[in-house]
Amino acid sequence: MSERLLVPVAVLLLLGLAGLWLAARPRRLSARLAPNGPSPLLPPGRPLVLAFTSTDCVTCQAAQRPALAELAARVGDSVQIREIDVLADRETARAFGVFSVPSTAVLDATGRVVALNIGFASADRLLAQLPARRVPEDR
Amino acid sequence: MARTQVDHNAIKFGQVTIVIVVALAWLLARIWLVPVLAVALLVNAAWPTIGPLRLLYRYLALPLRLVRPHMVTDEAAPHRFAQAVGGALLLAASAALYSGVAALGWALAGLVAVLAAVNVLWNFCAGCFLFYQLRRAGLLRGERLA
Repeated sequence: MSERLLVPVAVLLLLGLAGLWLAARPRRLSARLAPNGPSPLLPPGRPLVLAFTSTDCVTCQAAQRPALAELAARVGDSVQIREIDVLADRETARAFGVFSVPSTAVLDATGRVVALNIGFASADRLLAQLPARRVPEDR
Repeated sequence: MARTQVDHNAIKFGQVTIVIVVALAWLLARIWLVPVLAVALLVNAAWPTIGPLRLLYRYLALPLRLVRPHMVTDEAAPHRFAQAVGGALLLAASAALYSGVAALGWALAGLVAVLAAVNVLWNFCAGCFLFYQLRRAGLLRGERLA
């Protein structure tokens, strides 16, 4: 049995490496997007939350959209929130390496990608990922 | 397209079970666990309310408070499709294992376990991804949301 343990250990190692690779995605993405200058999507001086969605994604519309609305209500104008239909805007989706919806990307005011989420991301999670900013008042 | 309340923790419980059962089958060389898991997944996909994994979740995991329900408004079809694909792959794995092509059988079973682990760890459901791609290509029925 001991030699059989090698396979699960190798799989665990590979999963660990995949985890590290995914954790480094925001940094790699920032470096890849930087040569093109600040993203044209980026509002001047404000962080941005990009929510990647599609018309046939139920979770996007039934769960992610209300979470974005809740986030918008809590952060006011200090953060811009934008939805991107991955089928209509394939270029942006490809640039951010989106392969599943819902996905969300959080950019700071300089256009640096600070977080990428695969799957549903709650308002609390997105709020925690936003860079420190002056919030008028959490409502 | 039917929106419904889907318990995402029930799905994750099923995926964790898949990983554990495939790992046990491999480590203890009990290949009969593979077809048993295949049938469990296929029954779960066809009749979710009486699926063995769902019953384990409902009558074991929940009462023992191993996990709590996490209801999300979602579409159940992609998740059932993913389970059916997993079950079909495990059936193929069983056929390979019982016909002496062990490497192929364990590779297929391992693939199902790894994809289940990826879903648990990073919320990427490969079966759901396949479902959406097939539906966009018109190979699966289902209306699009407005």
